[in-house]
Formats: sequence, structure tokens, C-alpha cells
Amino acid sequence: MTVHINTRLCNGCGSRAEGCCEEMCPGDLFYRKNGKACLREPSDCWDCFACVKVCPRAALSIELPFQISEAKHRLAARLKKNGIEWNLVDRRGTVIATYIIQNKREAPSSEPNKQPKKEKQP
Amino acid sequence: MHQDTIEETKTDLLIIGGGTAGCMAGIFAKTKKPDLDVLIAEKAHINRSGCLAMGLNAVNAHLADTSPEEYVDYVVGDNYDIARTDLIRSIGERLNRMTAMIDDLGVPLPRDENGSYIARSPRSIVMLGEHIKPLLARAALDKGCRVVNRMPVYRLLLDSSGTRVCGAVAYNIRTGKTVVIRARAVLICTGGASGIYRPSNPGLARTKTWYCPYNAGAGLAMGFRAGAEMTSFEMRFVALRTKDVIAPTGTLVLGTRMPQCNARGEPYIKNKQAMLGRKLTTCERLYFTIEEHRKGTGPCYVDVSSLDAEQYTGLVKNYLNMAPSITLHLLENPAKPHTHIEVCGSEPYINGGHGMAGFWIDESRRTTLPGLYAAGDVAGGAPKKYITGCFAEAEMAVEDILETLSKENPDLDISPESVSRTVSEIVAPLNSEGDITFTEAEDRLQKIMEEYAGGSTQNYATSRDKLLLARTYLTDLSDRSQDISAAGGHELMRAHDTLDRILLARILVEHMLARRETRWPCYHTRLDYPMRNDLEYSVFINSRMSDDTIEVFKRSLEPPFAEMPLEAS
Repeated sequence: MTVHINTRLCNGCGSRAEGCCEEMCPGDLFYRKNGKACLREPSDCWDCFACVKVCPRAALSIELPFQISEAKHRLAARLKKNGIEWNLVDRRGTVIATYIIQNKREAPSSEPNKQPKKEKQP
Repeated sequence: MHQDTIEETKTDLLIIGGGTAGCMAGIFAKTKKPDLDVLIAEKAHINRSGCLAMGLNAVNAHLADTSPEEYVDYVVGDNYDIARTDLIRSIGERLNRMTAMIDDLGVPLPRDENGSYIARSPRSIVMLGEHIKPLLARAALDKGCRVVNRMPVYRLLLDSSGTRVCGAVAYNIRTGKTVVIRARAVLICTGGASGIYRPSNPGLARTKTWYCPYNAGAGLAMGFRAGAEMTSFEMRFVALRTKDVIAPTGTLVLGTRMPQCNARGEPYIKNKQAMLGRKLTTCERLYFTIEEHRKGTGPCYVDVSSLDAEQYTGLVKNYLNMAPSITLHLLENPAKPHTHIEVCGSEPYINGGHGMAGFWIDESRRTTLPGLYAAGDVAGGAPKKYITGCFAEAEMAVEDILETLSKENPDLDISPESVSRTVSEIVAPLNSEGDITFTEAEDRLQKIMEEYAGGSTQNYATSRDKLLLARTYLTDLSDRSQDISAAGGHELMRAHDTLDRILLARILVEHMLARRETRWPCYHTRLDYPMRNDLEYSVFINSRMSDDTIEVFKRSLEPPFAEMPLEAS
């Protein structure tokens, strides 16, 4: 659908072999160009939020195409310890709703999650 | 010209696809036999691949107050008496143990004051499942499964006698290497197939599908090409979804208990159930929704006008665990929430987790090819297995694999000619100087299927002459698709997605032609045979590749599932 990439926040994950979004996207839709994440084919995106959730700089959010919603709100997410924080942002950048939802058995906390552990290499 | 770089590897158990069933199969295999080498070949990244990428907000097959026998009766009844009772029973007996495994993974399953899971319907419980896939993947890695991400498998390898599956060939998108994998046993867990029919939305929103758009049915296609038997493709699965954003309606109807109404505000589902004196089947709920449109009383809605602010927030939160983007619609104007959520049918899919299309398997989840197993959405015959049923199938497959490997040591002798032929088939689009792109071919495929094989704009209905046209056009498209060219690993993957989808569409059309009755309204509606015909079609429709053609035949409903020819058309 439409992943919105905030190019001021995105640093292409620096020296990482792959950007986090590039590594995680189930459709293999990201690549890097000039040190920033780019979307290969926006219309191949499922809206699964895997990239949004994994971005260490919270540079990604998703909006619905105008044909479906004229509001142009964006939905962003950050993983917290044992939970996830969702922020709905309007087109002027104002947060209009926030939800924190437990996603592991232990109760969630509002502390930011530690950097994701490096994937075990086979 | 693409230069082949070939890498070789060997494993005891190759699991193709690290989704729901694949991850759990790895966990079972390494738990039961820690020294077994298990390789999971994953098309994307195991943390967020397959159907569970977004998360899931309910366990839809959990038997709190019902027995496995009642589950069998429900599934077979909902499926109009055609389904594999043996497979469904074997799943039913394991379902609740699989729910306990979800609990063990650390996925929150809320409980009431008595410590029982919170029921959403008689066979469904609430789950806070945003993180279920990363937790599942972590467990598979912790158990010691070898996982290679971005390594889609495209073809199976048979031994030199041409009978037993003893490996597969993949292409690693990141390294650009073709990977030949020799395996003592192969388990396919690649899921069903989306992208065969034209999607609900055009343009930028065209991938807003119910089923994972990256499930292109690779396992079904590679199994069929290798000679495996398939069942029930003609029972397509069509999901009833919220319009535009294609989010689940179960979250609305079961989660909030709000009524489903037509445009006049009449609760058409409830009325129909009162009239018939029974619950509607899954496909009838879709069929009667389409009927409202036909009668001029559509569109249809779930009426959420009576939800208070707290309940509406609860609904939004439930969706965030499973289909987050609908919240962008629900909260378009936070001061004035939507009171009516429009519903519609999705495009049809080939799927064995909700529907029953997939590999023809036995109770141990063995396919008809020795050495090859199938579990989860790729396995046919047992509809409504959902996530816990996929887990149960993974366990049954692994049990048989371990027992077989303890007794036999299959010879992994594959002829070098067969390996090099397979490798060149896989990299063909990289070497092709053809003039079409995978997007063009996919658009053509979806147009043919939509218009001639009962897409959503045709109210899911079709008839013989349309299907015969679909057959002709698909044969032409299949020939022409040799001209799909690809630059690089990503495009190669998309090219194979498209080629697989074209093959599956051809099989699907043959199945739809073969079942000359209408048994499952919308899933399979033949306008030229509008009635159910128990006399001739209380059978499975199965198919396999025979001398490069698609051979379709009947099998009886009970063991030993005798094979019968189709009557001449």
C-alpha cells in the first residue's frame, strides 16, 4: 500500500549489511539508495507493518491511498518491552490517538525496547 | 547472460517455508530429536513471513466446550458433506494441545476470573497475537533449526529412479546463488495461493488482499510439477471482509456481537437463519450478502452504531493486533466514528487452511510422492484447521518423518543431468530476452480468471463455455509466459510467483470444469449446473500431472478413496 518514509529520520541503518526494513519486509520491497530506504514497488505492499515495527528510528509509517481514505492519516508503531505502541497521526503531524497493547505474556512497560538482537546466522 | 553460481547443501529434514506450519514443524522436530539437522528454507524473513506477518487476534480452532467429534461434524457439515473426516479428526484431537503451545511461546491469551480462555465463539478464543510470528521464529531458532532467509525454493528434486523426493533447488536472493539442497525428508509448508484473481482494489491498493500476497502457491506448483496429487482446487475460498481495507469481519461480528445488516437496516443474516431454522454455513454468509446486492438492498454493513466509546476503542485495539490499517479508516474522524462498516467478498483463493484445496495427503501428512510431506494451508482435505490445525499437521508430519528416518536411510542419489536441468529451468527468466514483465503476465492472468472463472465482479459464478475460454486463454498465456524476463533475484522471485500462479489457475479451471454441480455457493457456482448433485458429485475432484497434461479424476469420500474416472463431457 503506501509506506511513508521520513527521509530526515531514516539513516539507512548505517553500516548494517541490510537496512532493518529491507531485512524484514515479507515482500522484499525495500532497497537502499544514497543511504536511505526506498520502496521498490509501493503497490506490492500488503500493509503488514513489519517494516514500521522494526525501524529503529521510527522513520516509517503507513497511510491509506487516497482512493480509500481522503484523510491521509498515518499509522506508526514502536515496539516496547512486552508491548507495542501505536500512534495515529493526522496529515499535519498531530498525534490524534495512541494505544499501547501487550504483545508478550509479561505485562507491557512504556520503556523503549532494546535494540533488536542480531539475528542468529545459520 | 546470467552466470550460474551453484551452492550445495545437505540436511536430514528440509522444511520449505518458515510460516505457521513450517516454524512449528522445526520446533517439533528439534524437540523430539535434537541431533536431527533441520533446514528451514524461507522465502522472506522468518520473523515476519507468511500469513502471520501482521499478527492474529484469535485462535479460531480451539475446542473449549466441544469435543473433537463435534468439531468433525461441524466442519463436514459446513463443507456440505465433502471433506476428509480422517484428517479433520486427527486435527481435532490435537487442537487444544496446540493452543497450549501458543501459550508456551509467550503469546498472551487472556483468561477470565476462573482461569479459562476468553471465548469469542464456540470454537474461537481471544489472543493478543501481534507478536506471534516473531515469537514462533525465535522458538524455532532457539531449538537449533538452521534458517536461511530470502531463499525461495522453486523446484523439487527426485532421486535417479524418479520416484522419491530427495531434495529441492532454491535461489538465494541476497547471494545470487542457486542452492541445491539434498534432504532425507522434505516437508512443504508454503501455504495457499493468492493473486490468481483480480484484487478488490486497483492501483496503489491492489495488494490489499485478505490472504498473504506473497503466498503464490509455490509449494503447490512444485509438488504438481513433480507429480503429486492435488485435491479440491474447485472449492475456492472467498473471505467476507470489510470493504476497501479488507480487514476481518470476525473481529466485528464475533468480537463485538454487532448485527450484520443490509442497506435498509434489516439484519439479513439473522432473518435468514430464523427462516431456515439453522445457522448459516460460512459460504452462505457470503452468498446471502451477495444476494442482498442482487435484490437491490445492498450494500451490507456491520452496524456498530450501538458501541460506546470504550467498546469502539476495544474494537480498534483488536484490529491493531491483526489488520492495523483498518484503524486508519475507523478513525478517519475521531470525533465522529463510523457507525456502519461495509462488508464485501474478497477475491477467491486456493487455500487448505480455511478451504480444502491442496495436496492430497494421508493421515501422516504424506503426499502421494514418497519422501514428500505437506502441512498447513498447502495441505488439502481438512478445511477450517486455522493456526492450531496447521500446528497439529506439522506435528503429525514430523512424527512420521522421524519414524521413517529411524528405519530407512534414503539414497540421495540425484542424477547430475536432472540437477542441471532443474537449475537452468529456475534461472531461465534471468537469461530470457523475452519481452514481457511479470506484472504484465499477472495482470493478464487476473483478467482471464476474473472474467471467465468466476471472479468477484461475476458474483463468483461461471459456466462451462466461459471456463473453456479460460482454459484456452490460460494455455496461450502459459506458452507466452516463457518470455517473462527478470533482472536480479527479486524479479526472479516475482517471475516464479507469476509462473506458479498461471499453472495453479490452469489446474483450478480443470477442477471447476470437472465439478458439474453447485455445492458451495460462491466458492464454486456453476450457472449451467445450479443444483447440488449428490448422485454424481459426492466425491473429491483430484488432479495430477500426467505426460505434461493435467489429469482430473474423482475419488470416493471414504477410505480407501477409490479412484474413478470423470464422465465424458
